[in-house]
Amino acid sequence: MKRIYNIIRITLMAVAIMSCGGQQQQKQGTKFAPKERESSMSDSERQAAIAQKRAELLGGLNLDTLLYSHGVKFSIVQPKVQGEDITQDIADRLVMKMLQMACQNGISGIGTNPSFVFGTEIAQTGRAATGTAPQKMTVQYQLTYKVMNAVTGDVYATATQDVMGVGSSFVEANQNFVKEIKNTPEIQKMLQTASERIIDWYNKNVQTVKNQIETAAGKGDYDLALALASSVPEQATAAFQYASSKMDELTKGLMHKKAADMLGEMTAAIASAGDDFDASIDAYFNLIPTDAPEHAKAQELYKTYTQKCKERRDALEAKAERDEQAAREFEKFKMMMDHETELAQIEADKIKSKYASLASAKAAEAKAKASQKRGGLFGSIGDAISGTFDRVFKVADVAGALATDKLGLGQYVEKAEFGDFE
Amino acid sequence: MKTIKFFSVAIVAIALASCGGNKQSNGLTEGASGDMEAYEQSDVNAVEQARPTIMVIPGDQTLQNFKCLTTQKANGRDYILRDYKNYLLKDDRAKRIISTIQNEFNAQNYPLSDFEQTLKQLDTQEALDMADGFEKDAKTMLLTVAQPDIILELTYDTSRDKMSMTSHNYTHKGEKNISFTLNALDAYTNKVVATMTASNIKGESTTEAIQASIKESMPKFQEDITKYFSDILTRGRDITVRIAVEKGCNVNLSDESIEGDTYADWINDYIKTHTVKGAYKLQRNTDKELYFVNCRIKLINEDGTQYGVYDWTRDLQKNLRKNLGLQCTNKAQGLGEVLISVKGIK
Repeated sequence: MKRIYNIIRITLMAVAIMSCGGQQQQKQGTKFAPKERESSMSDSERQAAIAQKRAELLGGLNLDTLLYSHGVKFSIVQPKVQGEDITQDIADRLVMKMLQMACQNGISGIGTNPSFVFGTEIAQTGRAATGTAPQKMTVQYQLTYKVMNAVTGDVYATATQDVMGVGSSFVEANQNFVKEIKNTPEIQKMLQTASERIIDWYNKNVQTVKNQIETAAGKGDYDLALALASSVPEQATAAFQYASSKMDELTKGLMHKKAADMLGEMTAAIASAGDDFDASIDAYFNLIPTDAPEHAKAQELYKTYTQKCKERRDALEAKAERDEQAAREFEKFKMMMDHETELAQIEADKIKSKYASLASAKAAEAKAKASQKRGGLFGSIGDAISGTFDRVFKVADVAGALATDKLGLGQYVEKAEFGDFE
Repeated sequence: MKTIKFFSVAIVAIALASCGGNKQSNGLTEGASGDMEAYEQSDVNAVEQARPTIMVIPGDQTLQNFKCLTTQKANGRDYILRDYKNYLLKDDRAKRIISTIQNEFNAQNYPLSDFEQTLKQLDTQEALDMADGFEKDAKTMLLTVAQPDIILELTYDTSRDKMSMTSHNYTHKGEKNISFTLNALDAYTNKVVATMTASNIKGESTTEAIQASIKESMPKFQEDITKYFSDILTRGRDITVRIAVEKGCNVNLSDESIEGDTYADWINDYIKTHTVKGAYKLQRNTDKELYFVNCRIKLINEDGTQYGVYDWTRDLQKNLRKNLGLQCTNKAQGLGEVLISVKGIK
C-alpha cells in the first residue's frame, strides 16, 4: 500500500514539475531581434528616385512659377486697429506681410496707385485656453483679402485665410498670429486674377484714365495726376502709351507747383547747416525747375552756400595739412628725445656705478698708503676729498669725450669698457 | 592568552583593511554594475520599451488656493488661466511634497519626470530654438508643453480646527485639518489609474502630515499603477483614434468610397480587425470626424520592436491610400493618441 502511495506521489510530483516546465515554456516572451528595413531598390534606382523626387519638389508647387510681370501697382490699405487684439504694431506687420505677398506676385509698386487697393478684413473667429502645463492661449482669425477699385468700388478678387496664433497669453497669441500668415497659392492666384482684371479694366477704360489724369492736372493736383499716370501697367498698351506721353509734362507741372515749397525747405536746410555740407540742399536745389520764378533766388542761395562750404573746406584742408606736418615732426622729435633720454639714463647709471666702484677701490688703496704715512682723522678727511676730486675729474673726462667725439653715451661706455680712455 | 590577543589584533586589522577597501568603491560610478548582455537576452517588456512618463502636476484647486488660477472673460466666454510657474514660487510646500512622491517612485526603480525642471527646460528649448532659427508653427507651439503619459494630479487643502479657535487659541498653534488627493490619470484616455486620498488628517505641519500619509498609502497606489501596466501587457494599449477631415478636403467621411460603402464604414471595419480582440468604442460619427475610444492595440512586433500609435496610424494611413486613394497625414502623438488628418483624393 505504501509503495502505491509512493508511486502516486512520485507521479504527481513528476507531472507537477513537467507542467511547471510546460508553463514556463508557454510564458517565454518575445526576444528583441529587430530586422533591418529592407528595400528592393538598387543604389542606382535609389539615386534616380531621389533625383525624380527633387525635380518633383522643385517643379511642383513653387510660387515662383506663378510670378509674372504685369507691372500692376496697388496701394496697400492698413487693416483696422481693433482694441487690444489688433494693435497698431500688428496692423503694421500685416501690411508688411501683404507687401511680401504682392512682391512675390510680380506686383511692381506699392502705395502709388490711388485707384487699386489691396486690403484685408480681419475677424476673430475663436479663442481658447489649453489645459496643458504651461498653459497656451490660442486666437483664431479669418482674413479676407480683397483687391478692389477704390474709384468704382468694384472688387476684382478675394481670398480667405484662417490663421491661428499661439502664445502664453492672449496678447502674445495675437502677436504670433501674424507669423502664421502664409503666402499661399490661393492668395497668389487671387492676386494674379486681380492683376489680369486690372489690366483688362485699363484696356477697356482708356478714356476714363485720360479723363482722370487730365482732370487732376487741370486742378493743379499733379501728385494725383502723376500717381494715376505712373500706375498704368505696361501691358495695357493704349493707356500706357498715353500715360507715358504725359509723364514729362506732369512732372514739370509738379516741379513748378512744388518749387516754392522746395525753396522754403532749401532755405531752412541752409540755415540749419551753416557752413557744413548737407546733401539734401543739393537735392532741393535740383528739384526747382530752371524756368520757375523761384529758381533765381534758389541759385543765389545755393551759390552763397556752396561758396561758404568751399571756403570752409579749403581752410580746413590747409589747416589739416599744416597740423598734420607739425604733428608728424613733433612726434618724430619727441620719439627721438624720449629714446635718447632713456638710453642716456641707463648708460649714466652704468657709468656711475662703474666709476663709483673704481673710486672706492682707489680710495681704499690710498687710505691704506696714507694711514701708513699720516694716520688720524685729518688723514681720513684728506682721503675723502681726494676721492671726490678723482670722481669729479672722471665725470669731466666723460663730458669732454662726449662733446669732442660727438659720441652717444652707449658708445662712450663701450670705449671706456675696452679701455680707450684709460 | 597570547594566542587570543594575537587573533583579536588580526581580526581588527582585517576589519580595518576591509573598511578601507569599501571606501575605495564608494564612488557613484565605481559601485555601479550591470550586465547589458543578459539584459539584451531577456524577454522584451513592452511597457519598459515605451516607458510612460509620469509627472506630478498641481491640481486646479491647489492653484486656486494660491491665487494662481484666474478666470478671464472675453467675447462672452470665461477662460481659466493657470499660472504654474507662479504657483511653484508661491507654494513652499510643493517641492517637499512632490519630492516625497518622487522618492517613493525612485525606491521602486521608476524615476518620475520633474514638473518644475520640465517647465525650465521648455523655456530653454524655446530660447535655443530661436537662436537656431527653427521654424515653429502654431501646432508645434501648442505641443511644446509638459506631456506626461500619466499625470499624478496633486490637490491639497488645509483648514484650522474651528474648536481650537473658539477655545481662544490665539497663538494659532492649534492643529490643522489637512486633506489631499493624488490621482494618477492616463493622459490619453483620461482614465483614473490609481488614487490616493486622505481627509481631515490632524497635524501641526501640513507638509509632514501629507508626507506621512503619502508614505503610508504609496504601496497600494503603486500596486494600482502596476495593475494598469499589467492590463496594458495583457489587453494591449488603450488608445483614442480620431479621423478628421481637413478644411478644403474634397470628400466627407459619409461619402461613398470606391469600395461601395462609405469611408466611415470602411474605417470602422478596419478598426474592428486591427484592435486586440476587437476592443473599441465609437464615440463621435459626423461627416467630418470619426472618434473612437477604448481601442486596444498590440504593443510589440514579432521581432520585438515596439509597435505604438504612430505605427498603427501609419498602417491605417497606408491602407486608406492604397485601397481608397485617400490622402492622409499621420498626426499621432505620444503613447495613446491616434490622429489622421484626411486631405481628400488628389
